Amino acid sequence: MITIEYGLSTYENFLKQLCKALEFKYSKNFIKIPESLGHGFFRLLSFHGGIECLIFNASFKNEIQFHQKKIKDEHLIIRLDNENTLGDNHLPRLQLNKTNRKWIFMAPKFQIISGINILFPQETMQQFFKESEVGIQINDHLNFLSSYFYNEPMDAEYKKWFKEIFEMNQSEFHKLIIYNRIMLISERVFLRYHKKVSATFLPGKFSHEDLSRIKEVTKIFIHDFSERPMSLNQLSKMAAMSASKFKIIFKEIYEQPPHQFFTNQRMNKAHAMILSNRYSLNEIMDALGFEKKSVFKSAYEKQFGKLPEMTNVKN
Amino acid sequence: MKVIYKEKGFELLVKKIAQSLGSSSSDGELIIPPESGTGTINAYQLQDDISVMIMNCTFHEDLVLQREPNLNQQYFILHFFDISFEEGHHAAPVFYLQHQTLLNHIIFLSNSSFISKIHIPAGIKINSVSVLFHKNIIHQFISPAVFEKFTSNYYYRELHGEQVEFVDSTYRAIIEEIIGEHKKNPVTIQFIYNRILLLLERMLVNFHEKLKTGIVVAKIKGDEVNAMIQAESELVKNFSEPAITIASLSKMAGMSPTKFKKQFRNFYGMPVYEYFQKYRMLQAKNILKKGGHSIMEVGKLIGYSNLGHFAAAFKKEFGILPKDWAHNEHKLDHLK
Repeated sequence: MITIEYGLSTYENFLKQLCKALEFKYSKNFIKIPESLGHGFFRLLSFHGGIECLIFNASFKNEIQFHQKKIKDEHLIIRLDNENTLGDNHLPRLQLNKTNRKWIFMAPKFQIISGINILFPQETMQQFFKESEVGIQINDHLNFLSSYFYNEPMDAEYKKWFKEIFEMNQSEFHKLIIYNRIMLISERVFLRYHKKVSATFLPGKFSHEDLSRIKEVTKIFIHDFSERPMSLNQLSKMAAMSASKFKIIFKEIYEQPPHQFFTNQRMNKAHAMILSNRYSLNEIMDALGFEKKSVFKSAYEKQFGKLPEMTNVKN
Repeated sequence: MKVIYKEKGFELLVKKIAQSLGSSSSDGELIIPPESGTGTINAYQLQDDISVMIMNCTFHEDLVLQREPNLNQQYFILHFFDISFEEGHHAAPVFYLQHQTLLNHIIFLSNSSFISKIHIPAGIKINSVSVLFHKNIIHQFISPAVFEKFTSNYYYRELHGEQVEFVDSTYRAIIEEIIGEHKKNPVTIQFIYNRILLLLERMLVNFHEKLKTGIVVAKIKGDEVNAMIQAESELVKNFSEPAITIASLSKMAGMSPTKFKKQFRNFYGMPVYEYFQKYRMLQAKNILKKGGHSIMEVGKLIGYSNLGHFAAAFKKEFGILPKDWAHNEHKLDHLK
């Protein structure tokens, strides 16, 4: 297995890391996978405002793990799956994600991975949204995306735009046409995302300040899993609000109470560490503050329905 | 009534129009006072220094908008005019570039160094989108040489009184979407910006195709253009009835059916009934999008009494059954 580690500051950087890890020559905007390594291509288009569009269709002779590390910048990523990607059983989806979040993806050997990824830099996103109230709300919601992400199936509308981008040939106007499709995709996904979150998360119910304070506190809350979790009282004090208010808003944002959220995040981290194949069980337990193996195993099984040692075994 | 202006942004033009109607605009919006007409004019300032004016109105009296050259700055102005005639009024808007009269130029390109003038006759319904932009936004996507070729060819044809691009069902769908939704859409500025770029894309690609294949509509007499525009609006006026025959359309346009069919293709890029069908399906999709009608009702509204036939035609156009499309579009609504 080959692991490619990268921070997604730009897709240009990602492609450089990919070439480095696979030891072949990087070329700007278009990479063809050498026959010795696999098949296919990665094509990159860059637009003003730092918006990037990565179009890819590739398969490798080796199993490859894409390990996207957290970075400080909160760029927004929209990933759209192609129909053939990851075999027939995989339903193509559209995902919203952010670069300040870890993301791991495995490409089994000889499996085609195919799709379109779009990157919006943080400042460009803010520019888009600053003009309207709903825009500001969307931006607020997206700020919380660091802790859980959104996805929806690729429907006919998305598929149509996907196809237009994917099948676009080099021409005088291809950049404009692709840019326009990217903007239509993002407009649609943001509005649908907004519709979905505002159904549970009523707009205007909480102030912008309350939301951003809770976000800050939550960052600290799940910063270190080896420590005992803070109590609700400590948390609400830090956010400068009453415990009951903190609890209500927290639940609205993360769809679960603080301690359940802590547990979920902790187990997700365990899952990611196991997947990375670089830590022993003891190291993982240390990092996450588990003392007894049996406690960790049963907590893990409760969360994922299987034991930790089964996670990396291929079926 | 005549409004002469030199200002760059459309907000200032709207203000001037308001003043000359003895009214006032606020936030770039002018509601036409009842004694002068009906409808609204809106101006927006978008990112990348793009200014937009959206007209959805009728005037009781002729209106002339004259833009004086502004030599200090370089920018382009593009007008997309979709018009429909009310009872008893048959004059289309007239555009002037420098001192050349361009009859009925429905997509009109001009720039800051030209004098340009639009004469809007009384009594016609104007649906229009005007865009002011700088070439740097275009250069983000298109090489300067290609854009240069586009503008010089377009001007050349305009200045020779030739007809270049017409508002067809695809342009109209975008214009209608802007007019119908710009106030309601939650992210207005982004929404308009995206559609403006779509209009530009369509125009650039279309004109480029025409140049490549050599089909640039030749000089046509002004009244022939009028006749075609009228015939087109007659064709798409009422979808619940069967399509009007080519015989009666050509009679209305005062030409032979053969000539009419040929001209229609030149103007709108496809045969008469294919065009009718395409526009009717776009219409169906729009009604479905708005919601509030069953698929059966939508089918009836656009003239299908058989649901199966409607579903099949819809699928042929958009690759998806209307029920699946509507389900997808509205599945988030029940959450509200």
